[in-house]
Amino acid sequence: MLVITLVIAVIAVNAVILSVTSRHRDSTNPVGRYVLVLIGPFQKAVSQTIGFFSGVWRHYFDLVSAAREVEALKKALGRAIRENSACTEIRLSNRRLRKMLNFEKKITRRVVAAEVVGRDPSPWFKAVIIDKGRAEGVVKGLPVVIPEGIAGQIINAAGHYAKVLLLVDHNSAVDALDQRTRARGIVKGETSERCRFQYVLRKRDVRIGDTVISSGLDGIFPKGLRIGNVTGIVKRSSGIFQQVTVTPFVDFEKLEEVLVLLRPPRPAFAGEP
Amino acid sequence: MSYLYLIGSGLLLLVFQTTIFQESAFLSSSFYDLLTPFVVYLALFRPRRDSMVLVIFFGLCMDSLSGAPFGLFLSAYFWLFVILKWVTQFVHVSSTLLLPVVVAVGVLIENFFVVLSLAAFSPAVRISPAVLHAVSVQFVWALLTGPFLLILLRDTHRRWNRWMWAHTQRKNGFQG
Repeated sequence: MLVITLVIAVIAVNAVILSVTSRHRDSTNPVGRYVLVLIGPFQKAVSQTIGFFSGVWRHYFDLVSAAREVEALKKALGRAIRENSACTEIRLSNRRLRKMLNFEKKITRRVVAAEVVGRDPSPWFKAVIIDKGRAEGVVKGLPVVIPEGIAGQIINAAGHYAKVLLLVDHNSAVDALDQRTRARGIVKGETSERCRFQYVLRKRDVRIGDTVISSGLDGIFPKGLRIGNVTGIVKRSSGIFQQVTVTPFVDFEKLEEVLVLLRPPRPAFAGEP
Repeated sequence: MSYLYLIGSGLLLLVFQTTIFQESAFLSSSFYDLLTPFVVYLALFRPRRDSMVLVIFFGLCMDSLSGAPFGLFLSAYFWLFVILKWVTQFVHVSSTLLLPVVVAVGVLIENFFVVLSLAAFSPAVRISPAVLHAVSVQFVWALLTGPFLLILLRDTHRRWNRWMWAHTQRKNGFQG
């Protein structure tokens, strides 16, 4: 009975206190202040720690996803660069091939277009390997040209490959003419990227800048193919010839595609099948 | 099996110097023939009879790919091989001290042979200062890079032999 009375009393007191405190909410509570002072820093520390770790966690995932994104973007960029480079290469190749095609239309002989696949392993000689050979009708002695001018001649041919001796090789020779004055001579290669226009008579008028073309008399190169222009003349006081240096129009370092002029079909004689 | 390695590495060098090397104007005009260290390697580290076949084979390959008169590289490699084999009877050229020099000397011998043959058989070719400059640049390159190429060839060959031996053992059912 006493206990029940006590409980009722406590409830009543509690109700009274609640009633009083609910009416005077703006009144300051010193105990609450102390508790705030005491607990606040810990709460702050804990919540900051939680914030820090949750931030780290979130940032970690953000970083991981960012890293993945960066990697994917890098790959995409690499792909785009490769595609861009391939497009540039195709554009340049297209330009070269168009030029070659236009040039091909001007040539009366049948031609075979070939790509340079290898170069001379020795610095002493100038030859290239092309990807067309006997199977495509390429045989020894055929002239090799590009739109800029004469590149060289075939010196060996196998199934699908052939070796081209370039104009600048010292074993190479082309019977040539000065286009302006028709002075005749032989263009021979040198070890450097120049040629020598030999056996041009001293009395012939050859000037720097003159264009040298093939004469067609060597039986290999058709008449009128461009070779190069005259860049140096030495006339000694003695001797019957002058020393003429010719710089070829063809850039042999950048030779990528060439045209091989095939032999014209043999004319059929009367009575032949 | 050594033959397989030697033919493979020789062809690799040959293809490398006729394609990738030629993309750089500087390397194509100034660097030495990469088969010279290969011939030097054969002369120093391989038996005479086995090597001779390879020297002839790669000489023919070079002659076929180059604009040189046929047989020029074959002869150059042959004489380089013979001279080095002869020298190894008196001098221990494969020692660490002489290794840096031997490739450069090999390059000199090869160039001497090629240039001399050209000058002798092609009247248009003269031994000019430009030719001497080209040879000296090649000599310096060989001095700087030749020993590394030789060591690379020797080490990869050893690894290849070890790998082949282990492979054969495994195939025959032996456990190492």
